[in-house]
Amino acid sequence: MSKRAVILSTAVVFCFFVVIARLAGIMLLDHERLSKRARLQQSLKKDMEVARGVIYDRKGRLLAVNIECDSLYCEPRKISSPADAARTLSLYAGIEYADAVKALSSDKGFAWLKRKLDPVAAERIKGLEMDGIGFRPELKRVYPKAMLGSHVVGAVGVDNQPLEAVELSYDEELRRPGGAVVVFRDAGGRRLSDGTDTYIKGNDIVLTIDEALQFFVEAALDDAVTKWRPSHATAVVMDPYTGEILALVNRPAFDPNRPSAYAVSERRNRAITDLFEPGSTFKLVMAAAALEEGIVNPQTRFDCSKGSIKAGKWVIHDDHRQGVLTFTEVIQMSSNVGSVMTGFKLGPERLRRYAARLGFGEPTGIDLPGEAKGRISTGRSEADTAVLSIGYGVAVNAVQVLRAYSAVANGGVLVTPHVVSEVRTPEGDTVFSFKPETVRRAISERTAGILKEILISVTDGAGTAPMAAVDGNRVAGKTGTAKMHSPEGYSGDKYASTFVGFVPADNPKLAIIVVLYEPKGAHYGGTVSAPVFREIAEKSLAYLNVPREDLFTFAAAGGN
Amino acid sequence: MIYRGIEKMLSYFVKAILVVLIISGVFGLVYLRSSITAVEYRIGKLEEEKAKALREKKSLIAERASALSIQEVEVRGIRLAGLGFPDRKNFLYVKREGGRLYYASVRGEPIDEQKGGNP
Repeated sequence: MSKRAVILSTAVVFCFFVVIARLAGIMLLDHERLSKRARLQQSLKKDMEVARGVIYDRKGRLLAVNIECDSLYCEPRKISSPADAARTLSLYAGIEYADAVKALSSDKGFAWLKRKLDPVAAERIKGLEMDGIGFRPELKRVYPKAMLGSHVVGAVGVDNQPLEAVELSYDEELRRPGGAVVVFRDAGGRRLSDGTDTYIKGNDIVLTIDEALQFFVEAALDDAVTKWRPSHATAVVMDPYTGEILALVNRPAFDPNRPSAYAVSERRNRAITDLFEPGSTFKLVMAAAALEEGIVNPQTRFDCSKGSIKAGKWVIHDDHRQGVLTFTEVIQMSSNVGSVMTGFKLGPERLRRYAARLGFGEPTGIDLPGEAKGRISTGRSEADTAVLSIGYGVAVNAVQVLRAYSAVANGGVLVTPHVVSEVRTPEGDTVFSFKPETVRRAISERTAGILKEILISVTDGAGTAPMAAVDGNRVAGKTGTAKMHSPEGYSGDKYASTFVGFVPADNPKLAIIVVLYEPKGAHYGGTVSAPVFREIAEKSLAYLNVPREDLFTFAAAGGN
Repeated sequence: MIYRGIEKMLSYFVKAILVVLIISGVFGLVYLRSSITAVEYRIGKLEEEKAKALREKKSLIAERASALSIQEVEVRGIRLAGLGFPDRKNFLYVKREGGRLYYASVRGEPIDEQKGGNP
């Protein structure tokens, strides 16, 4: 072999040796550090996108869904002319020029310009291909029925954080914990997918609300609000046997698609957060206690001819002077004098005991946030007993009153009001299903039956609420007209006008309460709220296909 | 001699096969790896398309829910088309009592089979 060949061979072998040594160094000695570096370059840790569960009404109609939106951001360091960019963006995306300039001129690497942009605006801005301007997809909560049922469904904020109602009280179910996944990408940043899902969906929720009933109640209450111009109003419809809330409406209300555009007072669920003195609707407690304790029967007579009764330092009047009334008539005519007389016979302790048994002074347990439990006065004086008998000295929320009347409707049992009937996984498996629970027996079945008949008399021609009567079905209920209390004392012209009852009285399907606060033009519950009750009841009974009871029946063959 | 010749030939043959196998194995691995990468690209692309379709679907579902709301029924069906919600005054209830058929109309107009009534 020539000398040159030897040198060449040696050089080649040496080169190979160097290459092999380098490879060995990379693969054996420096393996860990380099593979870690490669992993960092090729992989990306991505937060799992969490989609809140869908909210349905009791018939599967959508009340809250998610859509994907683009959020507009900027990288200020890449923007050459913030003023020009701000002008364009304020024109296309509706961003305030000053806000846009501020964001675009900042020294940060990233700044949001507008979250969850309108899709049309997003497409238009994308078409401009502006440097330093980008889009990031985000999930946006959408409420397709807008204001309908907003106080039950609730709302979320810009980061999908829960703000109100079911969205808040069932947040843990609606939004499961997300975590993160590792995705791989190539040198160009393109994602190499192994098929792993990068999003997670929360559980779906089925409400007890019925969209149609909710609409009827909202429409009826809106008409009443237009007519009587109250400061605020509430109406709730419940199944008296199960406690399922079928509709819950407050006015003012809010559009959950734009919660920040409304004041907190408009977003408040007044049906459970606002306490008021129930006035005559609370006479149910006095009546239930008196009947249950055997102090009176429906025919017991009371001399109410004086038109007033002295109770300690107070003199309590009837709105209209009555004569001698039976106990049934005391409730039918809503006589304060007769009620106070009965209250005196009962005494404060028994009155309070029955108020507590009927669920006053304790939370109803409704599965919505912010319920106020109310209060029953603890005074023992004659005046305290008298005012308690006619529904003063006690603070209640509308759902508490409705629950007490539901107890009469269902034969004496206190139920737990609720708005969620089922929680399901995204795959459709049931996680939780509400089973009607009896809190306790509040009154005997016999007393409930007697009370029902007395309450039916309220809506006949001689009672205080003939305007609550429904064509074709008997209605049991009670009016309430209570002076509103303020730090200065009782107002002379501000009232809470209430009607609460159930229908059909003989086989109750719906328990309904309507409360209008500070109505203008009239203030009696029988004038202001009872017609709203009738409107709701008539439409709801037709919708639920509840037959009329005044059927014209006759035999088919040789008909009578 | 002949036996040794055959043995030598076989040895070469086996070696050649081994070399071919090793080379094709290496290329196979490279091919497989690139195929996986290609599939991952394809999945990534399909996922992008799926995400777009899902995005569209979500928007359409929300739009449909809004269009099917009872408020829309009120506006389009009742105010524009002159339809109405069911009125119980116009309902006809049929009731069976004591094994015999009894008919009833809330309008107070009993349906009489003999007069051609059709409950």
